[in-house]
Amino acid sequence: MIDVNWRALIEVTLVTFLGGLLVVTIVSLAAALLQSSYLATEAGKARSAFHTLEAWLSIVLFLIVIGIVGFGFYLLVPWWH
Amino acid sequence: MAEALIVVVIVITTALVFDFTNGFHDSANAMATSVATGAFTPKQAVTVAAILNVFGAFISTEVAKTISSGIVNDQLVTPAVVFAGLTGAILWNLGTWLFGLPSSSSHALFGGLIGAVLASAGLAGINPSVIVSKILLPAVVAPVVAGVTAMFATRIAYWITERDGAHGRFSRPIFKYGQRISASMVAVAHGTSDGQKTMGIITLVLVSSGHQESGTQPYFWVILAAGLAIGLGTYSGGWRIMRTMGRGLVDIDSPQGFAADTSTTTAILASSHLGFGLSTTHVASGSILGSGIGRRTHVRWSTATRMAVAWLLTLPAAGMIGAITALLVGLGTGGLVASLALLVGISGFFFWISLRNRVHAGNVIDSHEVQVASRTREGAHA
Repeated sequence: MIDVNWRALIEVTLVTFLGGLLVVTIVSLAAALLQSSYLATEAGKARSAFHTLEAWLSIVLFLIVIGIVGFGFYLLVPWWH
Repeated sequence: MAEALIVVVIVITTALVFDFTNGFHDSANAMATSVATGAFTPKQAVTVAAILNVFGAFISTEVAKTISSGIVNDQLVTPAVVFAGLTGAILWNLGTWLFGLPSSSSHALFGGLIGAVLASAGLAGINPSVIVSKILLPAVVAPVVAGVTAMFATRIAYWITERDGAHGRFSRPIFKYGQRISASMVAVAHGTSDGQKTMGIITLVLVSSGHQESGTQPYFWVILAAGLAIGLGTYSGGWRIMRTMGRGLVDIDSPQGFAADTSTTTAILASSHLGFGLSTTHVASGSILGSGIGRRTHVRWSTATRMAVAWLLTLPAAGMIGAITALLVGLGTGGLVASLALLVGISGFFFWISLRNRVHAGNVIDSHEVQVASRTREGAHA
């Protein structure tokens, strides 16, 4: 009788898929917002409130990613949990 | 007594050699995409990976209670069986390295142990259902899960960042930073999981030979030796496999590399904490392939097919070498000496063949092919 831990397999699949997409989406959004803000500055346009908001939003997104990475390191180090 | 001590020393040395091959065989798992996109230079990549491998080996001393995870009956795992299993794993690792094929070092070790136990104790010594659930099924699942994730992640990364006509002028450096972080996490995870295996093997040999009490933690020198062996192996590069993973499967761009690395990191963290172990090699290879499909770039399916064949052959090939070695060792001291001579001789032969077409830090990303048979100008001048 082959004893497969199907529950763990499904969990690993879901966490990998959703976790991977979440991190890549957040970093991509943060990068795109920062890029948009820089492009506006580079084009010599006056920095509008919208572009300032973009820059701040990208910082918030990066902080969220730093939190996720920190959680990843927490999982990696057995002493911490 | 003196003979028993010599056997223990030989097995521990062989375990450390396996750990070294494990390091250089698997350094590409963490660093191939970062080297391919220029997030790290080749030398930076192996230096960072080596340091983090050693760090990873030190951050956990929870040595696995069974070195084979129930795949074989651990009561039958004697120092001689361990030596035979390690011989199978080392030779398979070196053979696949010569051809630049990434294959799982853990599966090679399990294959070697299975073969050695089969030769010494017969079918009763192995557990086929565990082989299916812990080796064969994960080998199929890992590249699919990581590959599908990397494929969608790559599409999302390009869709979000390439819409403004800037062609990622500002976003690409951010993806490269991201690659450095995710690659570093894979290196730490690799040091923790694979460094532990060698510590477990050495501790088992010390316990079974009466040099350590059962149930005690590994000695500090064991942790240090295992950590340094895998770190040195990683630092030596494994450039042939790095070339296949970084250039051989697909051409990698930084958003794509970030998507692949993130998928690999997430899969490894999830698998190690949710109780369904996946091979880092299979996960990383699947992620790179998936990211290539996601970017709709040219995928070299011939290389992917050769890799898949290597994965299929890992268990039986390492097992056959392990079985032959176990039979030789079973003949007594002469058999052990003959096995050791064969191990050294064949390893030296593989290394000599590799010199004909050397791949090194300076030329690792210059080509997408790893030549073996014919001498190339690149190899001749290396």
